[in-house]
Amino acid sequence: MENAICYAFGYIIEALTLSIYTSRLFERRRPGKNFAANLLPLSALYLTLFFISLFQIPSVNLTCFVVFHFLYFLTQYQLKGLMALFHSILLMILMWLSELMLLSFFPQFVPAFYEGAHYFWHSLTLVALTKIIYCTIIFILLHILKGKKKYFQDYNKITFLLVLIPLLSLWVSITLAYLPINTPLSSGQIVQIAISCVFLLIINLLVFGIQEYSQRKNAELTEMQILLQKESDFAEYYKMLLQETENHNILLHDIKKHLQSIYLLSKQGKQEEISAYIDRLLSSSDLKESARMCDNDLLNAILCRYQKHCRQNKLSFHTDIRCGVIDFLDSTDMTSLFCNLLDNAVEAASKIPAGYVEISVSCRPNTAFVVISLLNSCHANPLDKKGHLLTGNHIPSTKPDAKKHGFGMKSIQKVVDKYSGSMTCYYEEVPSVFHTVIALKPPG
Amino acid sequence: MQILICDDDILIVEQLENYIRSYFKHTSAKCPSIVTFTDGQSLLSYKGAKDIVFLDIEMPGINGIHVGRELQKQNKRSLLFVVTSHPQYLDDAMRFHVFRYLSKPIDKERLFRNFKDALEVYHESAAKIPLETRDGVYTLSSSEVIYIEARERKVTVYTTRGAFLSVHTMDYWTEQLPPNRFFQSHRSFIVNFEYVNDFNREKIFLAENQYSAYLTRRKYTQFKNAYLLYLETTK
Repeated sequence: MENAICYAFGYIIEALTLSIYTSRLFERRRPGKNFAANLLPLSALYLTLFFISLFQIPSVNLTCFVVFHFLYFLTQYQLKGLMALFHSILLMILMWLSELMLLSFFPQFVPAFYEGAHYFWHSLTLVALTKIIYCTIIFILLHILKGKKKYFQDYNKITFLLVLIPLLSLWVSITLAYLPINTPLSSGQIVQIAISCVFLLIINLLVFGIQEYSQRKNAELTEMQILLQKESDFAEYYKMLLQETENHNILLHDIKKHLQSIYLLSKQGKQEEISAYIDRLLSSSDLKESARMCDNDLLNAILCRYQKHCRQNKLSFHTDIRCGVIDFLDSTDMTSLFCNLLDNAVEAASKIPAGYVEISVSCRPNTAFVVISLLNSCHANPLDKKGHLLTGNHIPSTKPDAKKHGFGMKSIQKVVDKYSGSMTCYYEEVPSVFHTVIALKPPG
Repeated sequence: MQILICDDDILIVEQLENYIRSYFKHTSAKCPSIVTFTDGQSLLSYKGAKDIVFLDIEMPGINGIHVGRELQKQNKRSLLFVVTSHPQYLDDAMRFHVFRYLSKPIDKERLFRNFKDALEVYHESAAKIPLETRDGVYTLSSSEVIYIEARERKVTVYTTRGAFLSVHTMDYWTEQLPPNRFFQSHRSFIVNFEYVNDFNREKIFLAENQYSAYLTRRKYTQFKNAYLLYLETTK
């Protein structure tokens, strides 16, 4: 009965600590739920652990701690499996080491701590002290990591390696814990064991720090690569503008020459030859205006570039951009969105004979949405079973800069998220066509 | 269903008619009636149904834009294909909703893709649904149904004509209604995509925000994807 009260007290404090830990670091899967609904899974978790602890089998307690915390993180928070495992193992090792540390030191100062009539109060005091140490460590961690919630949603490969360190520490600490039970040790040796527990604790805190640092660097790298992608899009756009300017200069130069020829012919009085010359000029392809595909100048320039690119690759290119629907996009977002969409579409369509790319933008009446639809020929399904785009080795890229591959979709998703939009992709086997549908909400 | 083709170039009219007939032959469906015209005036004077119309915008006589506007006044649900050989951008001149633009020379595969969308939109909006109430049986088209709600053991069908108390259950309505146009967002709500204005993770707003329906969280992604597919077909 006395042990049960001590365990219950300990678990209540752990539950409160966990609640603060998770609310500061993780995003809930269902953020709108009320307080009572959030409390229920936490209560269920610790009630279960409490009942298991009554059997007083430490190995079972530790294993259940990890398993139940893992399931709790996975079901209640937006965490991937490996991150949930990392945090559950880390919390377990921090809790275990804080207990072990105090249990090692206490007998040095209070030798008769576990004996006598005041055993229950001594035990309760010990539990309180171990939990205070545990809470202190957690709060120090939270203080260092405040404001960094977004980093804990994803994981990278280093997380997998870092998970090993708490597991190995667990083995070492269990060995240290059981050593004095069967082997009489001097008080100096016991102090040495206690200090080793402190060092193990510090190592595990360092693991946490390394994990956070690695995630931060990962996020910065992704941001930089998206920025590089944007800059590359702009560079392509300016190259196109330069090409247009060069074409205009060539045309001006040719016009001067034509005017000179007409002047010479008129001086020689050759009226019929002048008429024939002008007729040839008028029907010449050099004087044909490039087709205008929409009322937005920037988007028109982008579409003209891809139209030219498709013509060179013998692809059909169709557009249907309704009037005045896309002006809310700023130039950076427009370039990012359409260049990346069309880059992917043209690359896929060029691998199939008689391929085509068809893009349309329209506004759905009486709704908040502008709909962008892109169809392109595609010889193989680029989606995996979960509906995510395959990247890297799964679909060989013919892009000149392979590092850009995969970041096009991230840039597109960033623009979609910025305008509170939604995106879906799917593949039709029979006509071998890939569909991308985006709905954006213009601001205001 | 009736399909109308209006172009002053008889070769284009014949080509379109042949393509449309070959579409139905290819899909093993019965080809509906196709009526052809060579000028806008005869098209506007025609008294029959104008469900799907292929309209040349560059015709002598009555301006093609005027014809399109009048057609839409006569029947808002007509699906208008504008056929043009004009290289320049046209939509800023249109004063009516164009379902799709087709450029001359007509690309057969592109015509088939867009015609398929038109048929899907037509069939789903024209589908008739019997609505049985305690007062009698009403026949509605699916495009008149805004949403259906189950509350306190009663199922109410909210339509453009008003609200009706149905004798049937939600399961019945889930089976009756076209799946590409309707979605059961919650055990108590079925919504018509045509009337969706906006949505978030918890609610769907309908008919210019006059109504709202709950959206179950676990169905959010499914709803979003289904709605985007609907938007793609009816763009």
